[in-house]
Amino acid sequence: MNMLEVKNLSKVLGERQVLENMSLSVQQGEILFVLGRSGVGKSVLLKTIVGLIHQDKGEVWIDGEKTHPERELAMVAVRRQCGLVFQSPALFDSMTVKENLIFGDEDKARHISATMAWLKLPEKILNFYPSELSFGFQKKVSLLRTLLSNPKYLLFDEPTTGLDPVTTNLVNDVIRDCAKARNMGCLVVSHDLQSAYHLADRIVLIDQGKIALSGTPSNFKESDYPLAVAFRKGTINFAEGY
Amino acid sequence: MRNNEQRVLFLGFEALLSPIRLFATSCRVLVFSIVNIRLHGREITNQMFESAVLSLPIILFSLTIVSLMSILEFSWHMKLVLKQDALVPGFSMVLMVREVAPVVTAMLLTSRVGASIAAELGFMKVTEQLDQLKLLSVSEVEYLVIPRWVGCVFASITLTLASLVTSICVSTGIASRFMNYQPHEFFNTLFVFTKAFDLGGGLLKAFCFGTIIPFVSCVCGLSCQGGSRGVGQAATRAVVQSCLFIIFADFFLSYWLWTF
Ligand SMILES: Nc1ncnc2c1ncn2[C@@H]1O[C@H](COP(=O)(O)OP(=O)(O)OP(=O)(O)O)[C@@H](O)[C@H]1O
Ligand SMILES: [Mg+2]
Repeated sequence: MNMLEVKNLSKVLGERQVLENMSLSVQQGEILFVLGRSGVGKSVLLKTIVGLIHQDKGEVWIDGEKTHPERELAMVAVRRQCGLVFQSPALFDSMTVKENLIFGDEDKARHISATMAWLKLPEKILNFYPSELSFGFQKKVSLLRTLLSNPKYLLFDEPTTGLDPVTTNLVNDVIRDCAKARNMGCLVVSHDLQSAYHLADRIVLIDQGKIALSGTPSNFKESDYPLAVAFRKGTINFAEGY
Repeated sequence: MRNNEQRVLFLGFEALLSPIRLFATSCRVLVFSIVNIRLHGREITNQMFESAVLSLPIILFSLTIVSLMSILEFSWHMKLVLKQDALVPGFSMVLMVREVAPVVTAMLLTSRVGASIAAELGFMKVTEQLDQLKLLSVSEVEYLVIPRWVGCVFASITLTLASLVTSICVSTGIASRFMNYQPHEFFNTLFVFTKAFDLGGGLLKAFCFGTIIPFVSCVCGLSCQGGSRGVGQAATRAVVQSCLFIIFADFFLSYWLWTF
């Protein structure tokens, strides 16, 4: 079965139950948007999938095989299949852009030009250091680095936050291409409702560590779940505990 | 109250054990990477340059002042008691080789290199660069810790030797200028008490200190939490803990090598 599955994932961080019995799945070629308020645990969810944070309970299955986050060596294969684009650019600041891109696998150099053209990045930035680039460019380079390793599943942590509308559209197009033209499974964590309506095959809404709503974009538009209503209106009814 | 004491005790043990644990892991990874020829050569030469060459001016300057002071101080004491200072070169050389050169070099390396290691790794931790390293399946021990270890050991040993040479030159100069020694006469009496074993002991100390600094600093950096404040605290902890470790190690090594 070609899909990424999360089954009953739970995680306590500090005093807080950040994830509670969370289950979801992404198939190859599918785009799943995960929405939720800031601090609800979306980034923790993505990091748990690739084993950067170890879950207290629950399992992650990739293509019908269970992952073992406690075994670092076994996670190498998992991380090759699952690319994660961090919320922050997370570029190595002691290396140039090019060194960042080929770090860990020199073979990636062959695909740099084509992928840069896809992301509309000028080749001259290859010799720049990350600190010489704007935040938007750094985010694009970070996306480029993940795309170069050509994973089967792509996890995006707020890929368009902080980008101008033109770049946002470009990144959205890239996500669509990844899923539809390259048959990758895309799990996108985002706050951007318009992108979600535009791209998502399914939307999952996380509320207080649990999945509150799961369905198509039109399901989400019609839902009268308070947080979904709040997301659509952009205001929150604090009396209801949000 | 009791809980607090246990917590402090636990943290103390953690501070002691974590560097030792990282050291054990690094030895294993080092053997593994040598066998698989997977050493990060460029990173290692970078670290050697950063630790040794860039620390050279400050260490030579400080050692010049220290050896100058020790010669003048020794001379004053000897004149006070023995009414002559003929043995100053011999005594000061023993002190230099056994203690001053390795320890002062290590302390200065700690404040320059140890703090920078902790701050750099701490910053990498809080900006998720370490997570990215894991995602790329690059071992942080192999890529970050081992090059710093090699760099620090290299720096500690070469700088100790360089500071010995400096101190010989400086003390000969001082003695002939201010203490009515002939340069060759002073030079000849320098080594009357110093044996090859002393030099070996001094270099063994340099090796140990050069190992302590990167491991303590790496542990502080890798366990850093929070934002810029966490990075600052990691750097402070690295310097304080490395200095304490070095002082303890110096005592035990001196006792074992020369008193025991
Ligand atoms: N390493 C950690 N140690 C302790 N608590 C943590 C850690 N990482 C995250 N948390 C906590 O987990 C919760 C969820 O954090 P997370 O970063 O996943 O939020 P998020 O949904 O991604 O928010 P945002 O949309 O703002 O990025 C937060 O309350 C945070 O304080
Ligand atoms: Mg987040």
